[in-house]
Amino acid sequence: MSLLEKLHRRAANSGLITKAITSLPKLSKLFTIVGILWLCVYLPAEGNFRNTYFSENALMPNQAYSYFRETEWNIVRGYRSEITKIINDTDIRNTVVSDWLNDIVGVKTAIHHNSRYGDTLYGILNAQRGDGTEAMVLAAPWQNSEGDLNTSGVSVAIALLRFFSRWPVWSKNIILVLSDNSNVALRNWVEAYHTSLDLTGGSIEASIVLDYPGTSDYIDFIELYYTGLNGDLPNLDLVNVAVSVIEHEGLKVSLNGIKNFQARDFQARLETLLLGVEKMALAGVGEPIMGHECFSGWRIQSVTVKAKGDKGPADVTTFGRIVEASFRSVNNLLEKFHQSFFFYILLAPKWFISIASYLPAAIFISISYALASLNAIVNNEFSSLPMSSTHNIQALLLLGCCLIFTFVLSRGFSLVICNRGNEHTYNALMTSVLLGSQLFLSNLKSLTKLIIKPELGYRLKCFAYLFFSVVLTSLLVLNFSLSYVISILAFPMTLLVSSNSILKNKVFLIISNPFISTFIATSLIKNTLQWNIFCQLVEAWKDLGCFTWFVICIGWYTPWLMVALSDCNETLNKIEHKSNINKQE
Amino acid sequence: MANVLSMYRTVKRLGIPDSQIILMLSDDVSCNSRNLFPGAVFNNKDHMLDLYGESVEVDYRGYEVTVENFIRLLTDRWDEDHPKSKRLLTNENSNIFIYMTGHGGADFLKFQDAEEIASLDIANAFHQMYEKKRYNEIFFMIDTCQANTMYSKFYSPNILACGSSEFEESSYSHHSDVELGVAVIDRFTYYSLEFLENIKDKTSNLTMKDLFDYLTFDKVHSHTGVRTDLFKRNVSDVLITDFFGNVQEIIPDLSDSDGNNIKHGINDEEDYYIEKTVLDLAIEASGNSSDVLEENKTNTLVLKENDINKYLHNTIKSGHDAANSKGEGPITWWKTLASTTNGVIFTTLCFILYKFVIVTEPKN
Repeated sequence: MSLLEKLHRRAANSGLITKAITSLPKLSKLFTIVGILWLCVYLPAEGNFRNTYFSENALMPNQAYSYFRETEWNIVRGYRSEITKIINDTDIRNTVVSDWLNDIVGVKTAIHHNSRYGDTLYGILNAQRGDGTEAMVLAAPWQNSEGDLNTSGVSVAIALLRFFSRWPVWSKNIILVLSDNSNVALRNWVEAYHTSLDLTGGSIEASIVLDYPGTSDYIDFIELYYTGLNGDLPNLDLVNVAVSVIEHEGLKVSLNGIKNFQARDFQARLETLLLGVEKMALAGVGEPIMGHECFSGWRIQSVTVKAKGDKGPADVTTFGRIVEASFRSVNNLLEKFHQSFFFYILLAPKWFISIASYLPAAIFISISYALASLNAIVNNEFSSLPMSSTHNIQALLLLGCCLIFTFVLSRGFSLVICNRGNEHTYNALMTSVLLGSQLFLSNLKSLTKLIIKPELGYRLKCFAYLFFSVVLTSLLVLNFSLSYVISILAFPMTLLVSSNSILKNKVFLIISNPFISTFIATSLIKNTLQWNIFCQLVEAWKDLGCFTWFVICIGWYTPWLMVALSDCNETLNKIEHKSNINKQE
Repeated sequence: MANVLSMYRTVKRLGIPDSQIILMLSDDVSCNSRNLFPGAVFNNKDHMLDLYGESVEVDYRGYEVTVENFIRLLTDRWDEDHPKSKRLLTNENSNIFIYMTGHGGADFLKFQDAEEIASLDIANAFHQMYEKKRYNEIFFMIDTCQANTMYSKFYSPNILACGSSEFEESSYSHHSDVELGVAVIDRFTYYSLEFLENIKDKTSNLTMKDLFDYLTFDKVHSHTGVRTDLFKRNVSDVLITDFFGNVQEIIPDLSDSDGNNIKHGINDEEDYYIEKTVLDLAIEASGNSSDVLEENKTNTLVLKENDINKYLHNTIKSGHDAANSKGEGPITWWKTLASTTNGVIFTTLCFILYKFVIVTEPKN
């Protein structure tokens, strides 16, 4: 302790503390920059990532020979030609396929009816020698995320189930799921499976979603999608199994559908990393739902395997072998997936960063908000006000009011949007109204006569940044990418200083507004104006349980409102200006 | 699993009866639903030999295979009603062969998923056995990663130890079976068995040194280790059948009529000589019509060959009790030891290579 005291005295004597306090705004900016550099420069650099490895010994991928080969080719073709005839007829396709599945020995089928999202046919192949308490899911939505008919995917899935029924090795039931789409219909089935369905096959350990549109016989490469909703990722062991199996079959893997999947240089690693972060932040919102996301939240490890190209080298049976080998690997498990990593970022199919390495990036930025909050307390002449002063209480009350307001807004807006369904023009109108109102709030100062005391202004800022920092810190473990992206997008909020010109502050407020910022950011990523984005956010919550909408409304909009309020003071400007001048002198 | 079952099969082939083998298998792989060949266990991808097909007597299975039970087995600390068939009924004349395999590391070997045995645990257990006169010699063989660390802590006399790999070195599997999707046997065990296959019967003159020389780096792909400093004999003098085979011999009991000062065993060269002489004499004298064993003044024996067989049979059957007992009638003067140069009780132990604990409960 004496050493610490000595250090503290030394620091106090040399004026380090005063210096640190006066440079808090700079420190805050510095932390944000470090946070950004950490992810974008430090992590993809050589030596900061690791090779993936199998943590669970029992998996043993590719140890067994895969037999889904030429003998099955004609069976796949047969199913495919039959399916091509019925795939467009949503009324009969499920009953026809249901008959086929019932012909397979050991398979029981049922149809989950849902008038809103579409029916889902599923068949359970009971493991002959297993105890029937666990299951693996093979899902092939009739329609994939791009709206294409998943003809080959469904055919391969049915042929695989038929093929699997002849093997005595299964220790887990195998469930084939044919849902109307890879989106809400599948999600609805997963929910029903865990709540209301009569025919079930035990707890689902892993699932593979097949996406193979068209009727081609050949495949060029495989796209692997894995990011779930709300920051949920499948256990890295399952991703490793999939990658290892696909590469064992001689195919290249593209993670999250990245174009440049062959390169391994710094740029490629950075691109893969950023794409992963983007997919995770926007999962269920801006991104198409591939299918595996539907299993999020039920402790089901899930990936989507998408076949790309139609030239070769691989053929349709290779696609089947990928599933066969993965299932045999997962079948070896005696426990749930519990080893390996649940939090990771992939830089390449076989390179990853674990949570311990990437978490500091988001932590640095959330610290910068804490520093900004500290700055709002200590760096002005009101710092000596007691904790129980009326301004503090007023600011806290306002925080409460803002919270209630944002909550009401989030619920209200979702009601307004969802009353009209998915009409594009209506959504665009609502989005414009929302954005317009935000622009109005950003200009509160010039457009209204609202005036608050300068002390209150500082306290509002202080609580706003602190609140935001806490929100971000709690969120970064749940959904690192979302927390990270939000913290960067909202950062201009902390640059709001009354010494700035009114215009500058206005710009900072506008670009850090959650709705405007989300709209701009997603539009930039997608290269088109995302008029639907808020509707998607709301729907993602209602249909998929994706909480991004509430994070934006309550976590981000609340502090923003408080900062916007704190800006409504002209006297504040003058006083701070004066104090700045004093400091300079 | 196949490692142990192969070793089990080999010692049985060489004449050790099930009653003298303690087999510990931590999982029932033959009936595991992941086994493509229900009821069978193979140690080779050619599937020629089903190790589980013949009668297999498993003494400890599944969750009975624990560190505690293993230590209790070695030190014989059981409660009264623990069945004899599950005990290691050895005495100071018994040679014990212990084979262990499974997941291991520096100074530990995993039992099930939850616990592990440390090298010092085994060393201490062996010393207790020594103090309790539970063995004459021990041959300890272990096939696991960093196996040689497992015997490094031994400090009791008359232990010969052999391991598959050095500190910080892995042990490797020999080959995979692509049908089953698992590696079926490990290199160290594979080549040990290959060597042991050379021993066609109990009269083999191959020695431990031959075995150790056979396990070269080229074959095993790791540095096998042998520890001889605790062992009194020279390994080139130790017959394989001292531990692996059931070679029955008779040695004389040199005690007086009160049973004091018993001397036996090969530790004493003189005794060994007498024993050999006596046995030779006995066999030579098999033409004699006498039905009972007679002692003459020069310690020679006259008996019928059939009687030797009968007597030996009884001895083996009643285990170490018979070996300890003074016998009745004319036999009083003779003591047959099922061991000394003969392997008596074999403990074969196994922990399978992978996870095997299945706890299933409906999860919804």
